[in-house]
Amino acid sequence: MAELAQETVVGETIIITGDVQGDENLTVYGRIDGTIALSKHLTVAESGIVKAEVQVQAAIVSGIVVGNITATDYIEITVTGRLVGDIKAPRIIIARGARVNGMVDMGDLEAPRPTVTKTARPQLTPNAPSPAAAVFKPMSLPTPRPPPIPVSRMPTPVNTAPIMPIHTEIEDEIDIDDSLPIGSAMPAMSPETVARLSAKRLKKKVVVRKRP
Amino acid sequence: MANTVIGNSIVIDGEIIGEEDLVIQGTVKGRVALKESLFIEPTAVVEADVDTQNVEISGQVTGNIVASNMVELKTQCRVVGDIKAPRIRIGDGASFKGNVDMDV
Amino acid sequence: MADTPCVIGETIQIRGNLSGSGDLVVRGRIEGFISLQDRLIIEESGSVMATVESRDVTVNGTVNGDIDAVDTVSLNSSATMIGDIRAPQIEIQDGARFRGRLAMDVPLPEGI
Repeated sequence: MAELAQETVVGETIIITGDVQGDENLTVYGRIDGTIALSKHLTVAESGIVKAEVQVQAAIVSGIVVGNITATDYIEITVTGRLVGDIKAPRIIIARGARVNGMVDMGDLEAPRPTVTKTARPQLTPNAPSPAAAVFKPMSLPTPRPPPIPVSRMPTPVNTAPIMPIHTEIEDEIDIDDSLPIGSAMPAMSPETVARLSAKRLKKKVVVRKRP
Repeated sequence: MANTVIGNSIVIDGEIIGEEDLVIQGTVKGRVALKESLFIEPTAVVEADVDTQNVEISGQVTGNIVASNMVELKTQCRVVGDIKAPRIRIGDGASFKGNVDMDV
Repeated sequence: MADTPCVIGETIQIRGNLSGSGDLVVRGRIEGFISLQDRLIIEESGSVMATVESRDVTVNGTVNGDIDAVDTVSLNSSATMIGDIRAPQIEIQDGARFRGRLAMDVPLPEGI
């Protein structure tokens, strides 16, 4: 028993004659003659043939469509697409190499240009501040928002690394409770931690001990 | 250097209006009205009335020229028409036939 | 020898017929009729209210009129056009605004 499909696919050897309507995506590899009405996307694959009046949310045509297409979102005719008919949508994309013969209507040309949709790129966030930053109390913590471009002054970089005294090297991470707000008194360090840190500082000095 | 250049294989039959310098290397028939300078280069053929601030002609012009500042006919140019401008310079080798009016 | 492109500056308006060979870049305004043997490039500030015949046409600005091209017509994302386009290849980028006819030969298999 086939599981419920997310979308409908009309296979390459299938021919449907009649009215097709639905609330899901439809991909046509075969042939539909009649009318298509979807609240979602119609994709006509390269082998697909649609001879129908089409009313959809969006249509992507890589095959043959003979008939008028009306879309509420966009119509895209790809490089292998061939269309004879009128198309009407607020956004229309026609690739170089596509063949189209018909009227194109994008509605009110005075209306603001629809924003170009590309898959949203993930926002780049700078690295989260290291625990050392909490110790050295930096002047400004980096914020994840990109800085606005200042108009009247030189742009100052917002995402600066924490300002650290030059002579110190961080050789060891200190166990700090990150939930503590910056500026709060540090909890008393365990004697072991104190000894460990002191030992690190002493390493820099040359200790000459005479063998007893 | 001028922003607009009418290349030497271009033929314009009509009217050119603008607020910047114009260089004509091709053919213009009709009318040219500019607020800045017009440069008619040696390959140019202009059959038009001209109304600009300055004109520098090295090509062929048939038509009346009105300039608010200066008209310069350079060597090898051929101009047939009336010129009206407060300053005019006609270089050696220029060909000119028409009236000159400097009383602006 | 390639012709240097002819540039119509942003404050220039031409009313009449324009013809020639070489590329033409329009940043100003042309009304009338344009007939070119090579490329017409209408930049974002350019506005052409004319019938256009050219080999290629690239539109970034505004066109009000029909375009007849031997090769390719491209409406880029900042283009706005009202008119008919007749060309073997037509490209309309996302964001372009267009109303008119696209007339291409569309070869269809038998039985359609």
